[in-house]
Amino acid sequence: MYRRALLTLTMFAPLTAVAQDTPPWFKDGMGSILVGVLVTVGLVVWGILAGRSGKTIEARPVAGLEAAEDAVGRAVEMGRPIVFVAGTNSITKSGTIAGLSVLRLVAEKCAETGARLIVPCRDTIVTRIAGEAVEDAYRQAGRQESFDRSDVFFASNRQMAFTAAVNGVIESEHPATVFLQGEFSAESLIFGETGARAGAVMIAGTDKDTQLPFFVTTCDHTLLGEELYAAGAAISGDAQQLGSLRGIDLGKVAVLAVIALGLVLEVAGSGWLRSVLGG
Amino acid sequence: MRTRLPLALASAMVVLMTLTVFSPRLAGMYGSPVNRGLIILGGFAMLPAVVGLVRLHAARIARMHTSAFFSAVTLIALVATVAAGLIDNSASLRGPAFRWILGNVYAPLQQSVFAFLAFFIASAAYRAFRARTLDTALLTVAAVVVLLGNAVISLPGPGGASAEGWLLSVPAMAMQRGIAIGLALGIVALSARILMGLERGFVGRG
Repeated sequence: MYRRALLTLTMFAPLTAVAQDTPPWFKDGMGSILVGVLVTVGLVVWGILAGRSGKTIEARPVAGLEAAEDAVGRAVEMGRPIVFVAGTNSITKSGTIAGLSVLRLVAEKCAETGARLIVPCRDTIVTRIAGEAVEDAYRQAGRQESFDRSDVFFASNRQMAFTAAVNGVIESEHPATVFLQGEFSAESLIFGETGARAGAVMIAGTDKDTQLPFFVTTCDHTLLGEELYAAGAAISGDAQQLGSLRGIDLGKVAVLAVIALGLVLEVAGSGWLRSVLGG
Repeated sequence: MRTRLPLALASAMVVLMTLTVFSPRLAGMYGSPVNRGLIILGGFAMLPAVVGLVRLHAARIARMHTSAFFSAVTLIALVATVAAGLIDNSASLRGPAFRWILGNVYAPLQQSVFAFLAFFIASAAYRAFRARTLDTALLTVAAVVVLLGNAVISLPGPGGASAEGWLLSVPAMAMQRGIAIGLALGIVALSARILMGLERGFVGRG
């Protein structure tokens, strides 16, 4: 009995170990952020449930997404491949997860139409996931024999070595379309210019606001910021996922209302909202 | 099972990692172990990734692909770097031979690729600043004002500020904050979709 009790206690060792040096359970000044997160999650969940209940939800059209389907068809007509880069960061980044969602949907289109899809990756875990996603898309389309596993490959985990590898792929394979979807850094302009010089249709999307100007100037279509996160949901056409976009739109309305309220109160000389938000 | 288990784990991780943002105590208990776990997973994933890379380049050499020469260079560099790391026999695998390769081969190559940016910025700017529409005309005027302001002549702007300072701190800042707010909401929506098992792109299999 005594040994069992001791064993049970050791299971909670991480919990008991903090007793000596105890950081607080809740960080000061995070209350308003927690409320904001909970309200936004509530709106998104409401939107998803509304979609699940069968309500018709339409997503606003995004030019870059509409071009994606045409771009796949163009590649088939030209007999040239499509290159997809799902960002240059790890799977822990939300931009990478969003990029992989777009990859999955592009892979499905490629599998349907028979277009060749080349996916160079910078992260080993992302390589594995991207390989599974593309292979599964071809399998579900009944065209597994058309999928070449070596078309989804790990190039390098070093920034500029990876950049050189992707440039090499674009220069040697002459793709009809290049998708750049995910989180990018300084290499964004190099990818954009190389693709544009190769005559490829460039469809970019990133959540890095510092890289957006480079994509806007060099690419044919750019998904700006949160459009990248919405892309997977919008292309899928799934009512629940579209519902989450409706929830986000309501969240934007709520943020605008708070901004307007803050503006009025500050002009009136009241710092109440600022103090509540911890500013 | 192969899809459901990763989705369930991802949902649990979304909740746990969100809680660590608000709770220093939970962050201390679970933040580091989760990050260490990711590094270990990445290490395991490295082996099939490198095997795939070797197979890809070996196949290109065998087929006499147009880039067969570069594939050969890649494989030779891979073998030489691994060999240097092993021969050095240092605990960190960063002995003198490895550091020589890093400093004298890799670093200059990296800087050369990075240097492309100077030329690409010029060609991208040329393409962007051709004033064909009202939007590009506005962009060109704003760019000229900022370029001049940072180089030689600072034009006066609203409220006594310089024109380039006003452009960067008012319209450009407003745009950045708008994108930041949209991104924050988008991340919450993405997390909620992962939590509810709707987002499956990261699982691989749909």
